[in-house]
Formats: sequence, C-alpha cells, structure tokens
Amino acid sequence: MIEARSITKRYGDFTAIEDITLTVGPSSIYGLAGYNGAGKTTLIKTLAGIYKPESGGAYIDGQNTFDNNTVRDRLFYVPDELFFLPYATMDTMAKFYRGYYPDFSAKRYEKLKKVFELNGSKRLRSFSKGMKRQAEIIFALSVKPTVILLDESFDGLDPQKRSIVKELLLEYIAESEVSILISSHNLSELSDVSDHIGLIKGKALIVDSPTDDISERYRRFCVVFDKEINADIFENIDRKGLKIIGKGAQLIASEDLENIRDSLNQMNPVSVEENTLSLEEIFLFEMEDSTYDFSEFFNEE
Amino acid sequence: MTSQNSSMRNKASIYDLRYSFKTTFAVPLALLVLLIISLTLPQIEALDRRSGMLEGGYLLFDYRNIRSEIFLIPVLLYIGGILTAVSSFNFINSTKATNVFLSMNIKRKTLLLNRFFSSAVYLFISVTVPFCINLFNTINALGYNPAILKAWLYMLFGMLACVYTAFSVTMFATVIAGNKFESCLYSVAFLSAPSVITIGVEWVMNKFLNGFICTFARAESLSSLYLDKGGLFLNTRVINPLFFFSNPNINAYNNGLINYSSYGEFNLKTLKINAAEYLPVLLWLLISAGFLFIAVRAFNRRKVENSGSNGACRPAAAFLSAIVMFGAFAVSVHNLPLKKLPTLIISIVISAVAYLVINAVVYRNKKDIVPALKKLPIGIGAVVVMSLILITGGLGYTNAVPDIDDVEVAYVTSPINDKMLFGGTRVSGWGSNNDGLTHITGYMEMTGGFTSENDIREILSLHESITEAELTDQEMDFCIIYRLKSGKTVRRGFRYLSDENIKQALSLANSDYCRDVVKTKFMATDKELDELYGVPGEKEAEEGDVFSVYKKDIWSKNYSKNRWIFKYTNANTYYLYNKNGEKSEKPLSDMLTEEDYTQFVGCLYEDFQKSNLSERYLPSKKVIGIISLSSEKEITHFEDVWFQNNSFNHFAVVITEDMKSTLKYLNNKDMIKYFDNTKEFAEVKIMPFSDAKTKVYNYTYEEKLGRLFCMEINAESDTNMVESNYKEDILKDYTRFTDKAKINELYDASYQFAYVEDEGYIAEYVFTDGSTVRLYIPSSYENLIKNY
Repeated sequence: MIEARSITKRYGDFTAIEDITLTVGPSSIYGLAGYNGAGKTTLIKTLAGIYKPESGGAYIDGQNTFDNNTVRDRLFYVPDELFFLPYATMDTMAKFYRGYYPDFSAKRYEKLKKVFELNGSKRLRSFSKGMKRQAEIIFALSVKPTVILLDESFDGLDPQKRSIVKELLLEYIAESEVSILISSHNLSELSDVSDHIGLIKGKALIVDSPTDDISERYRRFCVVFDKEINADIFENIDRKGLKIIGKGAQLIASEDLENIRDSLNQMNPVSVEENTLSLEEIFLFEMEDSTYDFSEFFNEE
Repeated sequence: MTSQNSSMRNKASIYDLRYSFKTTFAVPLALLVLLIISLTLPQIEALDRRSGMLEGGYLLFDYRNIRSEIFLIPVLLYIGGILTAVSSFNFINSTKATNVFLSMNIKRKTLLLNRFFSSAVYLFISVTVPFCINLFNTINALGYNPAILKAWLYMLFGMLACVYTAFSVTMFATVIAGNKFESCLYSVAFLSAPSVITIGVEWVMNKFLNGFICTFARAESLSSLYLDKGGLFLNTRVINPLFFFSNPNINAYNNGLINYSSYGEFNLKTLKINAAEYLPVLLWLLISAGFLFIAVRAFNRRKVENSGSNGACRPAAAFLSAIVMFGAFAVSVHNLPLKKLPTLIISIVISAVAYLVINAVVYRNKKDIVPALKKLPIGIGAVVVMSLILITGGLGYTNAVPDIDDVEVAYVTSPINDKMLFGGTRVSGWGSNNDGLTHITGYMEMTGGFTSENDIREILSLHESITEAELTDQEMDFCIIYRLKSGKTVRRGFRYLSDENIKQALSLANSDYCRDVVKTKFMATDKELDELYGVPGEKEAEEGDVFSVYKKDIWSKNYSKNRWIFKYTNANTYYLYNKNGEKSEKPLSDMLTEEDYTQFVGCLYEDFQKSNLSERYLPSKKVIGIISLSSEKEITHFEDVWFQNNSFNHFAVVITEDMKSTLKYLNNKDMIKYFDNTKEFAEVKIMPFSDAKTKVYNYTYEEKLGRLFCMEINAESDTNMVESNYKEDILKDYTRFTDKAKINELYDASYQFAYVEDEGYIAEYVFTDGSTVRLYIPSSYENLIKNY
C-alpha cells in the first residue's frame, strides 16, 4: 500500500502540489489524471522517495519512502523520461536491475520479452520510444515490486501493446497484492485499467474516488421548456455547468442529485433527461476554469 | 522476512559498489597513462642515458630532464581529480539518472560513498603505480637506502593529497551544483579561491600601496612566486589547496628527489624530511575527508529537482561570482599601466563586466540574473573600500616611519644589483641568477645591519622620502627592515622608487656601516676575521640544512694570509674588464701572488677611502675599466630566513681615473693594458637616454637597464646575434657619427652603467668586426655631442 499524506512540494517560491492525500491500496490500480504541469510527476517522484516534500510524506506500508531503502526494495518507478546505461542492451539493463533487485525474475523477464517481441541483445538506443517504454515495463514487472509507479507509461505505445500492458497489470494485481499508480492524460485509458481515479488541479487533488463511483456521481441534465428561458431560473440549483440554448438547458451536477432532480421537475419542463458522464467529460468539466469562445477565436477583425 | 529484506539490501549495496567500480575507472586510467608518460618514462630514459653517473646519488626523478613535468604533474593530478569526481558523480546532476538511482533500494549516502570509494581506489592506483615503478628503478640503479623510501613516501603522500583534494572538493561541488558545467566551475572556484584572493590582494597592494608590509621579495609571476619566500600568497600556501605541496624549500623536493644533476653528487643529508613538511600533506588529506563528510550531508539534503537546473545553489553561485569579480579586478589593476584613479575606475568596470558575464553563464536566464545584479553594488563597494584603504597606506599604517630612538638595527635591499655592471658580459647574464643558490632558496639580497645613529637617520630619512614621493612608473623592489629595541620587527617593501629615492639609497654606500665593512673586508687581519666570523668549521650549518654544502665549502677553503675579500671569495674568478666587456685572458689569481693580492687590495682600499663610495654607482670621473670580484655568497640568517648579505661579496670595482694607487699598481704589473680597447671603431650611434627608456616602458628599473645596456654590452659577436632584436627596437632614432677621432673622444667619456640618469645618452659603438657595445655617456658631456 502506498500513501500520500498531506504532501506539499515547492520549487523555490513555486508551489507544485499542495496538501495532497491519497492512498493506493493493495491489489489496486490508481489512475492519476491532470493537465500538463499539474503536478502529477512531482507527486509520483515524491511518492517514489526521490523528492523530499516540504510537508507531509509518502509512505509504503506505513514507512516513509524518502531515502529509505528498507521500503524501496518493494518499489519500482517507471519515469516519463527513461534512463538506460550508455550503450546498454535490454539484457544488460536487466542485469543492472537484477543487481539492485535480488528478486528479479529472469524467467519472467524472458517471457515478457517474448510477449512484447523485443530483442534483448539490441542496443536500447536503437529502440523506438514505444519499445523503450515496453522494455521499462518489462523491467518493472520482472523485479516483482509491490508498488509500481508509472508516469505517462502509455505514451508512445501502439493500441495492441497498450492492451497487453493493461492486461499484464491487471493480471499482476490479481496475482499479488500490488499497488500501482499510473499517471496519464488519457482518461479512457485510465478508466479501463484503474479501480480508483484521482484528478489534480490547481496543485490539489480535486477528485479522488473509485472509478465506478465517479461516473455515478456526475449527472448531465437536459431540460426542455415550452418557452425561451434565461439562466436566472436555475439560480437556486446547486449545479456546476450550465448551458442554455433557446428553450433548452443543459447542466451538470455532482452533488445532491435528488434535490436537483426535484427542483427541475418543479419548473414544469416539457422534458427532463438525465445521463451519466464519461471520465473524459468529467475531466474536461473539472479542468475547465475558463472557457474560450472559440467561434470568435480566429475572427481577427 | 526482515532478515531477508536486509540481505536484499546488502546485496544491492554490494552490487552498487561493483557497479561503481565498473563505471569510475576511465578518468583514473587516463591519469595513470599520463603519469607514466610524464613521470616514469623520462626517468627510465635518464637511467639509460647516464647509468654510469648515478653511483652515490639518489634519483627518484631526474629534475633536469623532467623539469617541466614537475610542474605538469600536479596540474595533471588536479585535473585528474576534478574530472574523476565529475564523471563519477555525474548521475547527481542528471534528471533521468536520479529517477532511477534515487528510487531504488539504496540510500543516498551509500550511492555517494560507493562511488567515492571506487574512485579513490582507482586514483590511488593511478598515482601509486608510476611512483612504485620509479622507486623500483631508483633502488635497482642505486641500491636500497631507507632515506629513499622515506622521501618516496613523502612525495607519494603529497601527490595523493593533491589528487584527493581536487577530487573531494569537486565531489562537494557536484553535490551542490545543478549541472556538470556548474560542478566544474564551482570546483575550480573553490580550489583557486585562496590563490585568487592572496595573489589578487598582493597585486592590488602593489598598485595602490607603495609602502606595504613585506616579508621578503614579492612575486610577479608564478615562477617567482614559487621561488620566493615572502608575500601573502607564499605565507598562506599551507592552506592553499593548489599550492600546499609546492614548497620549494622542501629539501626532498629540491634536492633529494629531483635534483641530482644540478649540483653534482647527491648529499644524503639533504634527503632528510622534517616532520613539519608532512603537516600540509596530512592537513589536506584530512580536509579531503572533511569534504567527503560535508558532501554526504549535502547530498542527503539535496533537492533532486535542482538536477539539470542552472544556478540552483545561490550561495555557490554568489561565491563564484565574487571570486571571478575580484580576480578580474586584480588582474586589471595588475596589468593597467595607468595611474591609481584611472586604474581603479577601469578595473571596477572590468570587474562589473566579469560579474555580469559569470552570472549570465551560471543562470542563463534574465529572471534569475536580476536578483544577482542587485548584489553587484556590494561587490563594487567591497573593492572600492579595499582600494581606498590601500591608497591611504592601510589607513596610514604602512607609511608610518619608526622613531629613531626605537630602532636598534636596520637592513635595506641593495637598490642596484652589483652584477648589473656586468650584465652583458659572460660574468653574469642579464636577468639570470644562474648560480643555483639564489634559485633554490629565493632569498633577497639585503645589506645591513646599520646600527650607528647617523646610518639609521639616513635610512629613516630615505624611508620617509619614499613614502612622501609621488609614485612613478619606475618600478624597483626595495625593502627596509628594522629591528626595534622592543624586539619587534618592522618590514616595509616599496614598489616604486623615484630617481631621487634611488640616489639616496645609493648614497648609503657612504654610511658608517658600509665604510666599516670595506675596512673590515679589505684590511682586517686573519685574527680579526676569525674573531668576526669564527674559526673555519665552527660555523657549519646543522645537518640537513640546505646550505650545508655551500657553507662548508666557504669555511673550509684555506686562503690564509689573504684578506677577507680573497679569503672568503673565489679568487680565481677575478678578472679585469675593459669597457667593451672583454676580460683579461687570465684571472687575477694567475697574475698575482698571494703577497701581491695583499698589496693590490691595500691599493684599492686606499683609493676607496679617498673617494666617495657612491662613485661605484655614479662615477663622475672617467672610467678606465672594471675589476669583477665574483664570489661565494655570504649567507646570513635573519628571523628564521636565510638571505644573502650583499655587502661586497659579489661586486665590481669601477676603476676611475682618480684611483691613482690602483692604477699605479696595475701599471707596474703591466695589467693596465687589459682595460684598453683592442678593436677598431666603425661608427657610433647616439640617442638621449630618456628617449631610449621610453622604448622599454613598463619594465622595472633594473630590467630597463638590462634591456638597454646588458643585451648589447658585450662585444662578442655571438651575443650580438642573440639579442639583435632589442638592438633594432631601442636605437631607432639615433644620431650617427663616423669620425674616428671623435668616436674615440666619446668612447673615453663613456662607461658601463650601474646607475644612469635620464639626462645622459646611450651610445652604441659599432666595431669593424661587426660587434657592438652599448655604453652610457653622462650629461656632463653634452657639449661634446652637440658640437658634432
């Protein structure tokens, strides 16, 4: 189990993440989403014990990870920017990791190489970006860690390899009590594999919820009236997004859904339609601070 | 489970150590190869070449053949240490590498220590292997002696201390730096800071402070720094990471290990290494360990997010900027040939530019440079305050002249080296004190002590007039030392002497002290001399003393029945010279018996007594010729520093037309002919001396004279060929005379310089055989020149 307890990390005067708390339980995959620069990598590096937070801490099974080799032999971090030894082949890198992680399974490594159809004696420098990622994921699974931190690890993978990776991760957590945290921009990908989703915005974790619950929590209401309406009539409704088009209105809400439903019905609409949101939509909804009027964007006159 | 985890972690640590050994060998290997090339191979060549000459000697390095490498080796060691650290700890400043290494099951401390250990082992091998080969070769060639082993160990530890200092300092720099370039910059800044500060302060003092607290001679270049005993830089060498092992006075370094060939057979005594000489080595090994300790602490606290960034460590960047700024200021002050105020202003501008440049290099973005710029006024303020303190003579401190009642004894440097008289002859070449002794010990030529009230008053008056004089561009190192009745010592050095100051200093030749010395040295009996200087053998230096060989030689020579001047000097080097610098075919010792010497010296003394002794420097009478009395040096000991007492040990007697007794004696012995010119004149080129002097601007006074006269003074053709460049440069706008009778008349009025005034002329006489000689014509002969 890996935990972030009220982590705040600053770079000089700049606060990258503030007071973030999350837990990735055993046999769980946590999907971490957020804009570029939101602080995902900072959070992951802090969890990996690379960065020392200004306050709070990262813990594996209750022990702080910073400069703590007693817990980090159970952790493997797959960074966004991969590191390989100069002139190394996959096999030499495997040897390197086997040295540091005595539990490294050569058998698993060979099997995974076959699954991904990678040549272990070829220099990693000649590998494509996706192949390098596959190699790193192979190393991560071969060292048999109980905590895996994957930073943008689906980037550059073709759909087939992406699917293999997902299946492997799901198999791995099913087989052992592993905690996996994956960061990605691709919400649909995260929803496929994660049982828990976290969303970082404005240095803080604004969503931290089981994947199944998250869709249930958000509703889109489409209301149609028999006459043109204005926004004032929705003033007393606790909603997050509101779009009015002629006689129709669309609003999104995540809390107190029952009350909202009742309030809308009391307005005597022609119809009220209620839908769940996809993760992508929730992401966009939560992330949108300012909305551009793109229809005016290219109008330079 | 716990023990299983612990075993895993141990395995990881052991693997990391193995990994460190695999990845840190490259730079130490290169260092090993370079050291073998520069240290071992020359020795093997030397042993091959001169194997028959080595009996009785001890040769670890052949000084003569690897002289340049002696300086190269420490440079190699420092560069090797720096590059080893940069490459071994490179991962610290790589974002990608830290992602892996700092997330693995290994502690930061272990990562650092493993790389330190493997690099330290490799560096040890790199340095020790060539040394072992040298030791083996030495013992193989000369036989075993414990002294060799001791000296070898001393050198080995010294070199290891050098390499480990560079390595550990760079390791620390790498830990606090954001990138590889910065770690190199910080490392160089840390290592060179003491040198930059001490040399810089000396340079600024030299420019802005005429009267400064001197120890002995100050330094102008790295080589003279090396040779010199005095100065801030030299006195702080022990705490200087770059120069703690460059003490030229270390017996082993100079003689025992490297200097076999210069002084003939090696003397075992000089191989003795004092315990004190190990101190800097031990100190810097300890400091290296200290740097390891603080590097580990800094690495534990390091913000990894700084990896790959610029200027993340603000204190280190500020330190680097300060060092660069002050270094630029000092270099500018040292090199600008301007008066104080323009020098100060231009140097401040240059240092500010240097500050901006180094900050731009470190930060590389406007946002970070701006806060750094706010600190620029602090730096400028510091150099201005420092300069003002120096300009005011250390707030008046260094210009203070002691009270006459407080002074017990005084010493001064000889303002003009006696050897200058013969600068261009084969007696001693300009600018090269190749007598070995001077070069090894680096002592300053002092005259003293002056104890009579009149003498001390003269020196105090000279001191006062120097401090009050306007600074000129006439550089001349001059030093006054007082020992006060209170037991304290006051030392003052001066950089610039006016013509008047120089004349006043030269007039000290008329002092009670100098007259007494002349009397003693020329006329004292053997008994009196023995009372003064002790019975031969009694004053031998202690075993191990660097001078022991020389002192022993001086005191053991049997010159009884001669006066001091012959007794304690080497009479067979005395020659008579004419004005062309041509010497008599035989030395005086071949022309005179011992009895003759006594008479001859009597004649000289008689003439000296009659004349004003400053005539030696400023002859107002016609110069007939010169007698050169080169000698062994008399070495005296003052305040734990050996220096040469210059009084009449190595000097030239200018024989002028009024020295009747000497001339009569030489006439009687048919030796006056050696003063005659034997060559036929072709022409003479004349130009005002002041015009010629401007052509050699920015040299010290002695150098100026050397360049103007010494290069050309010798009529021997090969000297002319060597120095033809100077001839063309200096005498460009001359007046030419070809009338033989007139040339002879001018030649009679000319003489070799010792001290020349701006008013006179420089005359280059060209002989029909193509050789030339340059002489000085005093201004009193102006009519003679103008009438032509």
